[in-house]
Amino acid sequence: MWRYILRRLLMLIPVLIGISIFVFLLMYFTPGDPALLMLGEGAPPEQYAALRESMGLDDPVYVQYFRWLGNAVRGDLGRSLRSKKLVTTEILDRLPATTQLAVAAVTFAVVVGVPVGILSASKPNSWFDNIAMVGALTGVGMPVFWQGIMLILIFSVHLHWFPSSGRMGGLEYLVLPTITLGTASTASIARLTRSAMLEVLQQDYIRTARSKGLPRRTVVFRHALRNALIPVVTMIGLQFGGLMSGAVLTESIFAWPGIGRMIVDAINNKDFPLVQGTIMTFALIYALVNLIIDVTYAFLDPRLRLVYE
Amino acid sequence: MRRAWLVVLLVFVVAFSSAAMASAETLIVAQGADPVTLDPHGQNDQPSARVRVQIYETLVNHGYDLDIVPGLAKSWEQIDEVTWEFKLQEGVRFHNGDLFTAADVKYSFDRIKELPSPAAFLIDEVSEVVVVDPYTVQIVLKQPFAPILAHLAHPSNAIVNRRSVEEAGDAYGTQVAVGTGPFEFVEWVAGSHVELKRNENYWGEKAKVETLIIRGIPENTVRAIELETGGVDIAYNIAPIDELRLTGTPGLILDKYETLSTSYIGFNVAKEPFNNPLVRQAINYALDVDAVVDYIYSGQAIPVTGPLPPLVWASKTDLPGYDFDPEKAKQLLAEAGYPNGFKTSIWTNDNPLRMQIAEMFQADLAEIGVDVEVLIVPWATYLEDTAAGKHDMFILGWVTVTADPDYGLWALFHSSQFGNAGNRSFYANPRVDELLELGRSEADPEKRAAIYAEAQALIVEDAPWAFLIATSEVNGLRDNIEGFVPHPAGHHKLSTVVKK
Repeated sequence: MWRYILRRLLMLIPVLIGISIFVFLLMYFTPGDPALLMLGEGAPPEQYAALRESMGLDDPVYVQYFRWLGNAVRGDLGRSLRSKKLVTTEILDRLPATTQLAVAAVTFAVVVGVPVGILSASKPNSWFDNIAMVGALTGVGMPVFWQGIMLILIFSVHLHWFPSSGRMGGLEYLVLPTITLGTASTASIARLTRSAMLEVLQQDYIRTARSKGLPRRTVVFRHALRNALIPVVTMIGLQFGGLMSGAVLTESIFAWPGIGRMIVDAINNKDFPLVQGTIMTFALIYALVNLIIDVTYAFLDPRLRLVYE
Repeated sequence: MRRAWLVVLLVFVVAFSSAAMASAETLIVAQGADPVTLDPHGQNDQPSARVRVQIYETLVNHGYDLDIVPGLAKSWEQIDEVTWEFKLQEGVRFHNGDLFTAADVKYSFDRIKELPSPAAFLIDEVSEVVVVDPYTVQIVLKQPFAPILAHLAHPSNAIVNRRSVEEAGDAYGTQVAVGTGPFEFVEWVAGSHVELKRNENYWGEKAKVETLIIRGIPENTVRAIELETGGVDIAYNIAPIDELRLTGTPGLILDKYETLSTSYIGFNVAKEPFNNPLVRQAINYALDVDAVVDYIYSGQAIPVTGPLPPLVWASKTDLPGYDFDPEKAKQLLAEAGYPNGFKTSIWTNDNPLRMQIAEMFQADLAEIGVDVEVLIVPWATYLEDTAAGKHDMFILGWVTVTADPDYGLWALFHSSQFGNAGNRSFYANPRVDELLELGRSEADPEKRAAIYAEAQALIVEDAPWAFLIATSEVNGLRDNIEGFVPHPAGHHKLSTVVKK
């Protein structure tokens, strides 16, 4: 098991290098000049030339890349071109807010999505199932932006229950962004749980369990759920990775001080080091979450433990 | 089971319902973006400046009617053509306790040039700063430069404290910011807010509120809603659509003020057919600018007839300009040799207001037979390619931050400023060049006004631009807020604001 984890961790290295080259080239070939953006209009040409030189923008692209890589392996991701802050500081400043939001959204999605899926599957085509699945379709299809503004209008403007934006204090600031970010995942998880459960509930061993006279609850939770959860866990992992990096819209609507808003600004300003560093962080998180998910399978399904040995 | 859920739900609602009502001693202000750095010699962006003007001070200031008033300098005189002497306020202390002296002035200006600060061009004409005695400093220019005081009033020329800057090193501007202003820096929570507190030892009139929190809320609608729900006390830049919605809401005041910003359409006069002034004039006549003001800006703008916004002191607002007159436009086009119009393009970045302007003018120009393609270009490329002259027509804005006509005309119309420096229409008129040079070296304001009047008249006649609008902005305030005076440059000072 440990060897498996170690091997997976080592495989991360070429993946990260590949991603870094890709992102570097992408930023390099996107039109727009960071020095020009920093200076804005009306700056004299000498100053512009001096700035380009000091930023190393006149060097060939491979020189720029290897300079970046050389520093990165020593833990130095450079400085933001605009704020002059260390990229690691910028990321660490913002990561807690994004992590908090993503964890809250996934928790929300699991706590709501899994029970809804189970209930739907245990009474397929009942009124509950129909309402839940139409709701899930709506949840997947609803634009985040619209949903966020609607939640603000209802719960902030009219009911005064929750603040409309920011992260200025307690958990009350977390509620609306969590629902906004978590809705689509909730819907996906509910639908997947339902279909996985339906499939498992038709297996022979479930019929056996029922015919033994086991209570319905025991059959559903002890026998069926555990097997149905494997695809759901995969989905949760993917969702979490996506929520970490995909919270851009939600963070913008709710002025949430997370990493998603930061990277959008960084891309607009062609703040290379910051974009590069942030995407590497996303890639790392995504890879680690996937690894954790794979390891979780072993606990859900003892047969898989053998595969890892 | 069911009861347990109900209890959980109740606890949840009670615990989380927003009870965080700010006290009368805490003023919360929202703007559209986060600051980039609180080092005044770092980035030159509006969101940063809006925080920095509370912390730092400059030698002189722009008063609310944009005349030059004392700041850290209590008086000044011009000793000869290129030397200005400033007498400094005595007994002023930085937030770290250090006494403010002439050495700080010299250190700050040297630092701006050495870094260089992105706003270093503002003091390009300064050759050196000489410390005469602890409370007297001379600024020596390379050549006579009349607008120097207006340039010194720019927030990017703020005076910093050497010890703080050097001790903080890389943390300066993000974790440390030390000035002499009415508010002291407390903390900056990245992406969320900056917290400042009243400087109890301020040399002038002390700030009215104890704590000032400045938040960045990028979504216009959400910023307006925060104001509506009382989450913030003041919200800057209420968008036209939110202004319509909030008008008449009890408890709110919407405060419109004129700014130093203009929007214009530039023609690439180096290219056919825009090298013909008749064509440029024709397009000026063809555009229905009033419709833009009414339908796109919902009144948050005024039409202008010349290149300068009316608030700039030498702005000539009585120029005849170009009325909306499609017939006259057609006639001029025919005279220019394009009786059936021509095909061309207009560039804009993805700014929604500009895109709408482009589409409206596309329709206006179709009326006189000019077939315009609207091209939406990303900002970075936009600046680069218009500087290189790849465009036909483009929409852009300019903020005359120093409120001096030199700043509003030099970079945009002098032939030495082609491309990135600001003259993206590649306009050159030897007489205009001459006038703009005279205008920056002439000390007498009356003579300057006459010089700039002639220059503006020539520019309007040559029409390298279609002159459009000067924009207004709307700030939203809760009705318990008093003493807020908007500054035309947008960086409002908040020490006078009272929260009842």
